[in-house]
Amino acid sequence: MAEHSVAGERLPLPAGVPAPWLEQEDADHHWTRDRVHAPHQMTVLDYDFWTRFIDNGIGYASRLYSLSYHYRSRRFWTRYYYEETEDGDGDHGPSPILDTVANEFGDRWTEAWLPEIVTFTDYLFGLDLDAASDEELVTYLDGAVRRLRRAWEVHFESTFASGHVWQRYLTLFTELFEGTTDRDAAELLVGFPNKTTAAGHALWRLRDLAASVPDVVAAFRLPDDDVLAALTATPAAVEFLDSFRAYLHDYCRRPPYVTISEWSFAEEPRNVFSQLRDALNHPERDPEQHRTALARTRDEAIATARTALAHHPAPVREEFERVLALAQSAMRYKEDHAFYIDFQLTTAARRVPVEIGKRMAAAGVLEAADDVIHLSFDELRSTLTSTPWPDRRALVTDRKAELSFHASFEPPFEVGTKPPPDTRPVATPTRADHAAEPGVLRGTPASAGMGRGRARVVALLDEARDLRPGEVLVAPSTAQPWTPLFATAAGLVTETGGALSHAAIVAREYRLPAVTGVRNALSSLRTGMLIEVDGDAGTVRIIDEN
Amino acid sequence: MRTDGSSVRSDGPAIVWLGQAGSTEPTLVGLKTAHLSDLAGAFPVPNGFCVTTVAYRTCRGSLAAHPGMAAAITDAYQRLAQSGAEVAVRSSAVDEDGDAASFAGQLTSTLNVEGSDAVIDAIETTWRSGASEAVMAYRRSHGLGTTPAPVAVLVQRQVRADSSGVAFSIDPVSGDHCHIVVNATWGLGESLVNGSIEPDRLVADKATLALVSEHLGAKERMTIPTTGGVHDVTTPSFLRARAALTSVQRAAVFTLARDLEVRHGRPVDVEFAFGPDGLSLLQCRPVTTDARRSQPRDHDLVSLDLDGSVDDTA
Repeated sequence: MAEHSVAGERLPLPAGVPAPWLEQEDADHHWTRDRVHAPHQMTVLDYDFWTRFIDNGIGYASRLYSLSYHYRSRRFWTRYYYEETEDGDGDHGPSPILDTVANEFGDRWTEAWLPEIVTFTDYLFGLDLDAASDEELVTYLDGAVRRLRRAWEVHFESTFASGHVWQRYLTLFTELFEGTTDRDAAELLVGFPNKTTAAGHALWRLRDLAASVPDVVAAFRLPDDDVLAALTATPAAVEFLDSFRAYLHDYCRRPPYVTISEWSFAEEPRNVFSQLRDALNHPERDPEQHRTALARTRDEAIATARTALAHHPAPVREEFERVLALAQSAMRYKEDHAFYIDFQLTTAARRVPVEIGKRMAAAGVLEAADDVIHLSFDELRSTLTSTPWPDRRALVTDRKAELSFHASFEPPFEVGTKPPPDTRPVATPTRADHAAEPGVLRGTPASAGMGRGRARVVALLDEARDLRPGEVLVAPSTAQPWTPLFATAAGLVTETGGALSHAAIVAREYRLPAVTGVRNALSSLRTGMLIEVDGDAGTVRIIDEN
Repeated sequence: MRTDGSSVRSDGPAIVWLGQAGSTEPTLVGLKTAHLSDLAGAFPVPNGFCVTTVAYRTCRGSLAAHPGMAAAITDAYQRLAQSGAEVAVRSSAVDEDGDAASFAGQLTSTLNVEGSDAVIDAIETTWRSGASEAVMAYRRSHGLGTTPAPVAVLVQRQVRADSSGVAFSIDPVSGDHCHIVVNATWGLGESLVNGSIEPDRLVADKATLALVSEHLGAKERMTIPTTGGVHDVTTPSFLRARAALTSVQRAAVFTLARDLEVRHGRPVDVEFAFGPDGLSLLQCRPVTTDARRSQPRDHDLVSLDLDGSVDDTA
């Protein structure tokens, strides 16, 4: 690491903005913007959340498994940047604990990790915040911080183990079946129930209920702001409204991405309206039929694999069954851990700062309750424990100004000092190996098939509500809450991710042609362009610029 | 049991089962079958029947004109197939596996044959290989005469091998009589016998049967049964890193090699396999290498030369 400043290449800084370094030494390191998990500007509260919980969780799991891996982050220009390094000569391999944990992956999740997380969520949703004294609120804040910290340790303890399971499965599969790819291997894992598919089914049951009541259907023809009032005023909508609230409670208590600053869907249900409207307009998209078809394809692929291995030595057949079952658990985990840890627990914990914000606004030390997202956890705690409460309004004004100053600025993908090219052999060819072709963008083939349509280029999930059936969704990345859009789109292009990223896996489940990891897709493509996504070749072709 | 191409029988059964009367008579069943049948009562030899030299001479390379013979083979196959439809069709010439020359790999054997028509095809293929140019050249170079020797064919239950190997009851390279040397790999033994992989190498003390040294080979590829034969596939990396034989299996192989040497009163070369039913003895023949004329070599660094183990051509 120390050699970077000697041998590395200093990246140019963008003009017109100040250098972002917090310490001069930062300039000597190589920082990458995390556009997958943190595509947006970050509030002070969010960045504190990320460093305290997420960064800490990564460090915890690296030490637990003796990985020669170091991770740290910075908030530059209000964006989240990170640096990953590996010990140069740390080729000692991971601890045997990683193998042990990976070998019992499914059981660990259902019997140890998930129950622990659920106790945290229950605790946080169960807090009677209205009735709490200010002193109790401090206790609850400390309790939330402690639980979030532990939850993200569990998150990476389990995620690193699931990565190990993936690696074992993909290696074994491609070794046993020559000429196959990761995508073929993934065929054997799809179509099992998980929290994402459960949400899809619950939405569909809600849709069936809505479709059976003409007054409810009529209410959904109104503009978003009027839907809820119309439903409440309609006696025939009582049963639907009960189910709707149950759906919000079970599946929508989550933010649009990993953030403690944003309203959860349950607090802001208009996204659900647009999903329901879409489902009402497209009764043919019943996800259960889709899942049944997927499960059939999967079972055929598994049967084919088993037949091909029938005459292999017993240890091969045993290892294949063992690793396949682990990978199927890991596939389910991939959806479920995000539901429980990344989203639901964050929403549960958010209740505490929201309550603190209300009290601070009432006491006049914040302009508005929502402004609480511009303060760190320590600043919240020290406010509650000071007498009188310090006025935070000037501090918040500065931080809001910093956010708006950078709002329209698209910071570079990487800053600092780029390390010298890795001299170790590279297994996969880089994009530079492909000859550039005008009007064609390249990425990773993620989900097979050709999809042609007008591009809908969206940076935020809110904008994606404008997606029309038959359009190709172009996004920086897609986290779980984006998934319902896949039923509407004709194709998917993302700037980040690979063949096993969330977007790729779910796109295959929807049979949606997809290319991931298309750098600069958002700047190269514009809404309204006619484009063609080739999910086999990993290309996006611009057919008509207008 | 030294024989040559001039040994001829004109009478006797066309089919005999291992362990039955006549099944240890080399001029009727060939040396390989005679050896195995002799051992079948005391050692785990897969069951099977022999299409004898009498059948060979009657049919002259083709069963098409001998429906009675074909029907008898079909009946025998169906009886054998009750314990698994796949069989190995193996050459058993009257001078194959002899003291002077092994004929190792010269005559055609077909593994994993299923169905009576395929068995009959495989038997005819083995018969014809006895008169091939390669076999004639081999005979000439070993001073065995140029009249093709009668070829009996052994049809045996196919072992579903998880792992296989070869055991020598002496070190065939150094000639050291104190050691048993074993090469083992995953799957069937073909990839090992034809020398296309680096097997695991184990050396045991013959007196105590204790392991003296062990070297895990790369076992790059493994032989797997396929429809009507076998093929080699890449060994998955997790399996390459694993020893092909467990300690219990090793002990069984060391014991087998020692017991067979005791029984024969001379060093032996043994092919074995482990499948769902445990250990199977596939072949046992006298060691044909004349070790005294070989340069002693560091056997930790070299693999046994198993496909051309005949070097007394001078």
